Amino acid sequence: MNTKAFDTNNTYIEVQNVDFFYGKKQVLFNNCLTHRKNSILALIGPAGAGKSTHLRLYNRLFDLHKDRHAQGAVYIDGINILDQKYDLIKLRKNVGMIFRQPTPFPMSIFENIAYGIRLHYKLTKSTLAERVRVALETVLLWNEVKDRLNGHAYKLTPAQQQLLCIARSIAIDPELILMDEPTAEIDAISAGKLEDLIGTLKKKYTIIIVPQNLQQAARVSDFSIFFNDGRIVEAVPTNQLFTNPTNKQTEDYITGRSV
Amino acid sequence: MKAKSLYQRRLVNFIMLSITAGCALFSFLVLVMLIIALCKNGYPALTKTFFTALPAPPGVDEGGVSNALQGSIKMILFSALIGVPTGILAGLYIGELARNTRKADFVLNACGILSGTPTIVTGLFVYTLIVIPSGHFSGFAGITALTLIIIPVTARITAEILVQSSTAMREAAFALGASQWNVTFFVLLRAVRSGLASAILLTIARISGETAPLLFTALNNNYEADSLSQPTASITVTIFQYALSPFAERNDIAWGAALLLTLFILAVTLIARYTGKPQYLSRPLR
Repeated sequence: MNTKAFDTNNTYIEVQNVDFFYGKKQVLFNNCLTHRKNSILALIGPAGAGKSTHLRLYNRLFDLHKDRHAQGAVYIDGINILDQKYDLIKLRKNVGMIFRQPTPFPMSIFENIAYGIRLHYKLTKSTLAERVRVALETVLLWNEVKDRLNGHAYKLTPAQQQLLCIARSIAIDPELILMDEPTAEIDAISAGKLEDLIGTLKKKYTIIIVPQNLQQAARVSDFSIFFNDGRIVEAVPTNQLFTNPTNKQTEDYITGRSV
Repeated sequence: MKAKSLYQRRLVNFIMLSITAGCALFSFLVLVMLIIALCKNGYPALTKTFFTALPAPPGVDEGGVSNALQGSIKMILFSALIGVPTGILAGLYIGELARNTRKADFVLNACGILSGTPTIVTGLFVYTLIVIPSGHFSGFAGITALTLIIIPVTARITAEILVQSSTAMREAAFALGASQWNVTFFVLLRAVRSGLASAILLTIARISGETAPLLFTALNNNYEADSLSQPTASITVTIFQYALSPFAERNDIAWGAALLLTLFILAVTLIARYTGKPQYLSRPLR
């Protein structure tokens, strides 16, 4: 098993021997990987392989469910965030997350973004408005919504809602952004634009994405992890994964044979 | 195997459709007849005196129900003011803060049993709890009985609405680094507020029609109660007593009060239906 195939210099994330359990059922087995800053890591593999579960390690979202727990260590910038003493609010300010389904809150476009900012910063009205504008500009949504910031977020199209969620995430200045099939519920043209956006975001953020399909992984990611049955089978630079997979299971998956 | 004839299938379809449509028509007709009877008998009683005068002695015209109107409004208002917030907070605990714990399950079951309890039992309970020790019927006792009916219903509805609300939205709020209370109050409660408001209005409509618990607690009063520690008249108890009265003018007033109550409940129900349109329905379809 080759889990440290790529660059370990400049390590930003290091996952060491992580096991994960739903109640007594183990779903992740001995996950190990490293990832560097300002690059995009794609988690690929068949449905039920544990990609989304693995993704939720980084912001400890599994903590919402009492029956779920993880063992091992996940270091982000040298700090083990699985340590129970590590502050969840601090962690989640630093690690944003985008979900499969757009999740705008039941409030105006402006308030959606301001909500997150207010959780972590005390700002004057004008600084807050400025920050909302910058976030919306970053995701290229500003021009479409600048005249209706007080309009309800539910009135936006699904693609716009997803961009709003990304804006809400980056408005609180995270370092790492997790994306769980962010284009699954939006139309193909908007999905293409969102992929382009993800490409530009990596200049400032580190991104871990569960892509919607293999093509998306090939288009957006720098490195790929191939998951199967909760185990990391292969970790390689994405271009190498598609052109020259070293592992038989990976090759079978990529070429469409059953794993 | 012989195929069923098309004729036979159409016939069965026609018969079943007719039966269901017939039952629907029947229940609708009952409602229409009820409203016609109420309007015919009740409308003439709704004069200015009806709203402004106190009850007249038996056999005398010119009586009204101003005391009962005032009593009902007070008791419904106060019980809603105490019961609704308590119920919502209890529902938040069951449905969100202590979600899926044994404590929450226990309280939820208790609320289920309480909201299924016949209201006359609640009336009797308050009778033994407040009326007997204090030695007299009172508006307070009436408010207590109505509040005890509101709390479990509101708590259960709140919990159920919260449990059905979007898991993704919950996760998204937590993923931003929000604390439990912040997620609960500013995101979840906000997301369900219209559904919740309509459910609460329906609960208020329901308690407005309660008679049994008030008979044992607030009873009645021929005058306007000066304070809530006195027996207090209500529209429902007035309907009950006047409808059984041998005097024709009292029967008329009972019809009028029944029409008024029905119109009130109808109005509240319609408002509830209007406000209850869940916000997610206004999301663009895809």
